[in-house]
Amino acid sequence: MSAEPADIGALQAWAAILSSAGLVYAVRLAGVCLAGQWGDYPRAERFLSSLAPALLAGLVITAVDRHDWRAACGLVVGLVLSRTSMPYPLVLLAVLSSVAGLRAWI
Amino acid sequence: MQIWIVPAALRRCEGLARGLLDALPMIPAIAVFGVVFGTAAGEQGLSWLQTAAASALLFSGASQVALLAMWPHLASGGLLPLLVATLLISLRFIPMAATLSGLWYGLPRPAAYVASFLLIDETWALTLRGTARGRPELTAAFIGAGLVLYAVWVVSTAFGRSVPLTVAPERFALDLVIPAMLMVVLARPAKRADAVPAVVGAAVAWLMLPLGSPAGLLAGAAAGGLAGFCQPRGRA
Repeated sequence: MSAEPADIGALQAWAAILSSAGLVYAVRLAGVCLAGQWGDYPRAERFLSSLAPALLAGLVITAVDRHDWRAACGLVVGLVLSRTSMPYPLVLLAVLSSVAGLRAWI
Repeated sequence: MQIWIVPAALRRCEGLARGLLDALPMIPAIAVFGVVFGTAAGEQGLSWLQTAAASALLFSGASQVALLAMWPHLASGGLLPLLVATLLISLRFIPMAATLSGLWYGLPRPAAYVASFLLIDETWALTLRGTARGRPELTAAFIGAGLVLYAVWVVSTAFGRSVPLTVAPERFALDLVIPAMLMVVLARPAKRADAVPAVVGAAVAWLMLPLGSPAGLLAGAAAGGLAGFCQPRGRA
């Protein structure tokens, strides 16, 4: 993103915000309406539940590419912990501290 | 009559409270991302009011990032490119809403339409997790989690616009915070996180590395999701 403030008229700026908001809400409403009409979506659920392992794998690849070994290890540890009975808030804190925060000070 | 009404109301309150508690660990990540967004909004020239209004009315981090990315081109390109990008990004809400069909059945139709505003990646993931565990009062928990995350998101973005970050977000890998958070929340419902989506996601993310991590991550996740979509029932 550019650091230079864009020269946008107030009317155009508000039109952009309001039209985006309306569109996003319309899509959410469409989802609710279609869910009511079509019932269950096993394939949609498989698509969405497959995002997690795919995202994890992508994150690990990205971390390795950055030579960010702490983040990569944190993600793998997080996945292992998330499959135990450990409460997910603790898992979340373990992963976030490893991935996002503490490495800057370690 | 009251004997039956009171326990139902109590159960709903309990569901709201559980949703709120479930969302608590997400607050740091959402707040950090909100401050980053507020800082970027200031750099792009959005006023404080426009930044807060964007968060309050859209309540969608990805769509708001698209709004910022397209902001400098509004004057020359008009609204159409922005709306096309927003539509593409938001289309994920349709299958997400579909997987939560039981949630909407638990509400009167008008209330379901209002509650759908709280459908974001995080509330969806928490609700899916609750469904996998067979928890009761998921509708109340969804609303509880959505309300607390909504408040945090609006306040943190407005705060970020007022008090911009002075460090580069990349230094703290803030671009990875939200994906990492979602990964942790979603990992358990994906009981058999089979190898196919992971391998496909890794391969696509690796191929897309030259384009930068957000594009590679998104493409990898989408490709992995498609791999899961195409798998026969019972495998995923």
